[in-house]
Amino acid sequence: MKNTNITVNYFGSIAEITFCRQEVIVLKENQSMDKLHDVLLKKYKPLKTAIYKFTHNQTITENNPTLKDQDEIALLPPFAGG
Amino acid sequence: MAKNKNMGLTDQEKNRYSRHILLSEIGYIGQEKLQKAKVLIIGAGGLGCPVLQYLAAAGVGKIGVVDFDVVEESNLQRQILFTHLSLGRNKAIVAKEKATELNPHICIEAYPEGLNQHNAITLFKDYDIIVDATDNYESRYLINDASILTKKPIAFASIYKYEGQISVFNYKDGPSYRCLFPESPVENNNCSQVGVLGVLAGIVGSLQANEVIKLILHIGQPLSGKIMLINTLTNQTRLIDLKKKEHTPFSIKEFNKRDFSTPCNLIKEIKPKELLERLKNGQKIQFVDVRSKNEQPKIKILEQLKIPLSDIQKDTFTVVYCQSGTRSRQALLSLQKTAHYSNAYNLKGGIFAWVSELPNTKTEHYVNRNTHKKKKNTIC
Repeated sequence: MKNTNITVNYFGSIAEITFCRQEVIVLKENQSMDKLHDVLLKKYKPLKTAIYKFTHNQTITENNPTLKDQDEIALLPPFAGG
Repeated sequence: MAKNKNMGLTDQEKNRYSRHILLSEIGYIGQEKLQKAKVLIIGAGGLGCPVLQYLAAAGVGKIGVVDFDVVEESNLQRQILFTHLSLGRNKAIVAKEKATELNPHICIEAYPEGLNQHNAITLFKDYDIIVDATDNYESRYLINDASILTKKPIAFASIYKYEGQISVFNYKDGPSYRCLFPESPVENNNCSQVGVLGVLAGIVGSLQANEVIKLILHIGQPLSGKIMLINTLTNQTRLIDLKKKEHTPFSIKEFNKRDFSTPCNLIKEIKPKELLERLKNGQKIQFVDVRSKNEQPKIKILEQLKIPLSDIQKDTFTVVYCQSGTRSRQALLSLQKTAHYSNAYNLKGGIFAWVSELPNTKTEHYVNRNTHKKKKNTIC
């Protein structure tokens, strides 16, 4: 079975939880966004209480798409500052 | 100088705006559109300052500026309309003075008050475009919902440390802020708490002003249905697509009943009317004012019962207040975290809510029934 490389980007306060702004997460073939979310929650415990939206290939998504190799995901939190 | 609203451009103005008029997308007609436009800027802080400066310089005919806050020293690192001479003065008023110096051909209205459910709809009705340059989620959701009711587009921006988000919401039936983040987050991560690069506010505010100009002129592609992300450390920018989600329509009546305060289990809040009832019943209450020294208005009864932080009795019913209830919530959070105050409440909506919800209440005679130390430094 082939692996699927997903590039994950972190913004704002989320990058302070992950201590990086970008990383590649390797999933098995045909795994979904929810699976990636599980992997991230296991890797970064404070994500559980954080607020963010997922983008999938530069689109905000609330669905659970099947991820393909080279897909780009981001975790985008709201900012209050002005 | 004469304000020549709806009268076309004078020769002096044609000269002033000549570099706009030379642009084929703007021209004389576009410059007249700018002259006829009415833009309301909420928040004269890090974002609001550059937005106001560029819109004023661009010749936007009417600009409103809403801000209850006063200029503090820690603002000067990024809020570039203000100088050390502005310290302690209301931001909306100083911003109006500075922008009028920059362009005396336009009309600038200062609203030295907090935006709330009582004034938002009336204010928004007088303007074409709303600029969200605020620093807290309460205001952002309030602006979002009031804009939906009044059918006004929002030029939105928010910043965090070195990063910014810019978008246009509620434009031609496009997505709103609630399509991105449906509910208000628990805590405000604003500049006063986390720090922010001064120049970031300038960059993001300028992008926000750019969106306003595009909306007025109907040129280019406004950031409707898109969120622009910018990072000044990496110089990366991205455009994220955002689709509209259908939300249940709501009436002005329902809007008035909505609770915009940031949900936070740690904070107990008290409404002005309930507080007045307790005062009427002769309950012993201690008040903590966390505003800066010269902030107005002073409320006679609250002033007279005000006590220094060191004298607060832990078990006495305590009410912490500021202008709008945001800073007092932060103060209350730290009181509770550090000293475990269990009987402390935040005055919901702050002094502004007290004034607007209890406009003609004579409260003086409740003072005498309370027993603790009185201060005589009242202003009104």
